Amino acid sequence: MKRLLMADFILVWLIFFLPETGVGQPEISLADTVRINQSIELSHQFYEDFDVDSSLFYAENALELSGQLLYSEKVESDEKLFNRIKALKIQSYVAYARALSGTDMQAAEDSLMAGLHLVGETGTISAKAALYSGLGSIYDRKGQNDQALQYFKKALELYQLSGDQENYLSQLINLGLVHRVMGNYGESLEYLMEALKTGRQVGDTAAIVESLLAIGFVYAFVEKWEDALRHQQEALEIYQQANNLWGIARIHNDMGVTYNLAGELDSALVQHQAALEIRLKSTDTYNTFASYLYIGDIFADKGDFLKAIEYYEMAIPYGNRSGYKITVVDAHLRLGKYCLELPDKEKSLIHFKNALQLSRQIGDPTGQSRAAMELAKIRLGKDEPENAVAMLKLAETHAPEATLRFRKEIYKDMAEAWYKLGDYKSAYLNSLIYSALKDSVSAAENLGKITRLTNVLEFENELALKKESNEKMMAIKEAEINRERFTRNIFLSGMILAVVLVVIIFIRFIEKKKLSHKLNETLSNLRATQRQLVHAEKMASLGELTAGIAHEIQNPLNFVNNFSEVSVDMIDELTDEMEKGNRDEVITLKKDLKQNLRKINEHGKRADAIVKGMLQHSRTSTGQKEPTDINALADEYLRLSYHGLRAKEKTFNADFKTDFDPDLPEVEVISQDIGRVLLNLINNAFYACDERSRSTVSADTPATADDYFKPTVIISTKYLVDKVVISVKDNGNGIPDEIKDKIFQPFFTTKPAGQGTGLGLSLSYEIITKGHGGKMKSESRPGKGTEFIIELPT
Amino acid sequence: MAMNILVVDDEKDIQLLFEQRFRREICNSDVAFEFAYSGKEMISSPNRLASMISNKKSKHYHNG
Repeated sequence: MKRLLMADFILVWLIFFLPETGVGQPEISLADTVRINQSIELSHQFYEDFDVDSSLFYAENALELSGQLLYSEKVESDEKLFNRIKALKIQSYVAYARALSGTDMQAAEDSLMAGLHLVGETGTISAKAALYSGLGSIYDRKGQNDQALQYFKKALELYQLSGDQENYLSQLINLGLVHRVMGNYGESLEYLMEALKTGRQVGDTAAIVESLLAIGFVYAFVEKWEDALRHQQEALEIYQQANNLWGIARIHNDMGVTYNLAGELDSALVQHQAALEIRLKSTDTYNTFASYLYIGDIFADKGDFLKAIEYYEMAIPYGNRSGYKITVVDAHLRLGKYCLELPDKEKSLIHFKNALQLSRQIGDPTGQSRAAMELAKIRLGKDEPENAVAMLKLAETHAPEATLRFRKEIYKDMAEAWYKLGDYKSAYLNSLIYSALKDSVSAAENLGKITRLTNVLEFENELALKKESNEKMMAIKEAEINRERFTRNIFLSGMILAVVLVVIIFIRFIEKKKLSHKLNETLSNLRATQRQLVHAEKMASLGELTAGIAHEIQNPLNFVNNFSEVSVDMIDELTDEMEKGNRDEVITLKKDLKQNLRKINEHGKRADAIVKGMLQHSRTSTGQKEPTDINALADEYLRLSYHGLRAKEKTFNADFKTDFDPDLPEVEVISQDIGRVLLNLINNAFYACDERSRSTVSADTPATADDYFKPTVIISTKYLVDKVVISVKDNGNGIPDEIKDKIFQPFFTTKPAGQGTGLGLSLSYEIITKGHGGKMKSESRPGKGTEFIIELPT
Repeated sequence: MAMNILVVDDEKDIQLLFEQRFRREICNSDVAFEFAYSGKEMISSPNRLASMISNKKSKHYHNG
């Protein structure tokens, strides 16, 4: 609830102590316009604080002052100043009308009309709009709904034009309220919803609350109690947040009315009492009065007339203080009515008389008419027909044309009174009017009912349509949301899946990288090992070769050494013989010396040839294929192998045979590689034979020479149509069946650890198959021997 | 008394070498040499009791 603040008191002070200006005084000071402005503001403020008298006082003050100024010479000559004062005067009219609206509506209307006249064509939009809005309010109060609508709409348009949101919203709400009074609930709701929506958009709390409350009653009137209470509850929460006690009381009041309409009297009572409790602590006399009245009504509805009368009586002092005398009339009428129920006719009479007097005083025809009629009824009851007729005539004069039902009652009573007075003619005439009215009333009532019903139905239809469209919108929105959610979910799960996949792939990648790194490492280790092994194998075969070569080269060297030594001795001897003069001896010695030198030369050449042969081996190791005599090669390596083995092993005991095909052509091979293959095979063959001979010897001593095992290796060559076949055959123990298919595998060996690399046969196999496109196979019979067969294409 | 020596080797030049190396001894008849170039020859040699000097690595010896 608003209160006068310190600033307001300063305003009041200013108004009274500023220098006076009046008619005839030439100077127009700024203080005058300020004074008018402040008076107008104070009027509004007092009006909002329900101090109607003070409001009226300041409005009159402003009006008078502005009127005086407007027609002074100084102002009339200054157009700018004139317009300013004119605007102030119009504002004064509006304030004046507002202050009067509760007590003298006609005067208020006149004031506004005067303002409208002054505004003319040139007035400002906001001034015009304020006047229209004020007029709308007056016609609303007077029940002239169509005119009210017309003015509110004009005001609405102007405020929309000027962009004054606050007042625009007020007009929307006013229009909604008028439509609600007219029973146009659909249109009402439309305006109010618009107000609520716009209010929420611009954050105008007052407009939101007013819209909510107005909408609440629209729902209440179409008996949608829950919707009504829901809107009121929302408004209540807004007021509670702002801690606005006046507002909270107002909502309790409204909720009480709603419950009352819904027939829930107890709930209604709770609400109204809550409102009353707050209002009693305030200076809000009018609303305190209203709360008392509502509570009284509820008790009356419940049949508790004593309690009802008690509350009505408590209401009246507040009503009197509030300045809204018209409602006090209403209170008196109710008191009269319920006193009759007690029955307390005297007390009732007093109240009706009070009502009549007060309504006459404030010019309330309806109140006058109703009071007069009630009085007439009592008079009739008391058998005072003359008084009754007088009262009824009074009632007839003031009865509003529109309320047929009321008028019908008057004529009915009038007929009865005339009848009692014995004036049958008048009684008959009145009864005729009564029956005519009765028909009209029932017709009007039916029409009203139908109209109302139609309105409610229309509203329901509209509501249903709105609801449906809302539901459709909601469904569409929901579908959209669902779709969005679905899309989002899909997207999300897709993302998650992708992330998971990426993580898995990454982990796999790292693992693979690690693995491949490990594999690479292992592979390089293997390669290094393989290289080392191959190297070892090469070195081994080189050693074997060397052993054979050593023997071949030793003999010529011995000869060279010995012949040269002998020759030195012989030179000494030759010198002796020459001194002796032994000529024959000298000649012999010279001849021998020559021969020795030739021999030295011969054996030197022999050694040279052997070394050259070795060099040739190393030269061919470049891997160039060249035409080679396989027989010679085989013989050479057979010997190299044999001597190599004998050099290493003193007890080595084996024989060999060769069976070379003399027609063998030269074959394009890498002789060093084929030599190595042959060396391998021959070594193996000798090894196998040697093994067997050892085991046989140790096992038993042969009885005869025939039984004597002769370890033998046979090398043979053969020329077929398109290939050369080399066979290395031994009569050793043979290869056991279970390892036959493993012998060409690398590193497979049957030799004791450290003796064989297991690479010999595999390297040989590779050299033959891959290096020369040939074939290599083995045929073996355990206990009989093994034959390796090489086929080389020519 | 002269020594009789049988030399067995598959290198035929060994005879020439020995005859020259021991030329003086042979002239003085201190030593008498006999040469064989294979096992068979050795066995069929008349002076089979003579000391044997042999190159045991001679392939013909084994090959014989």
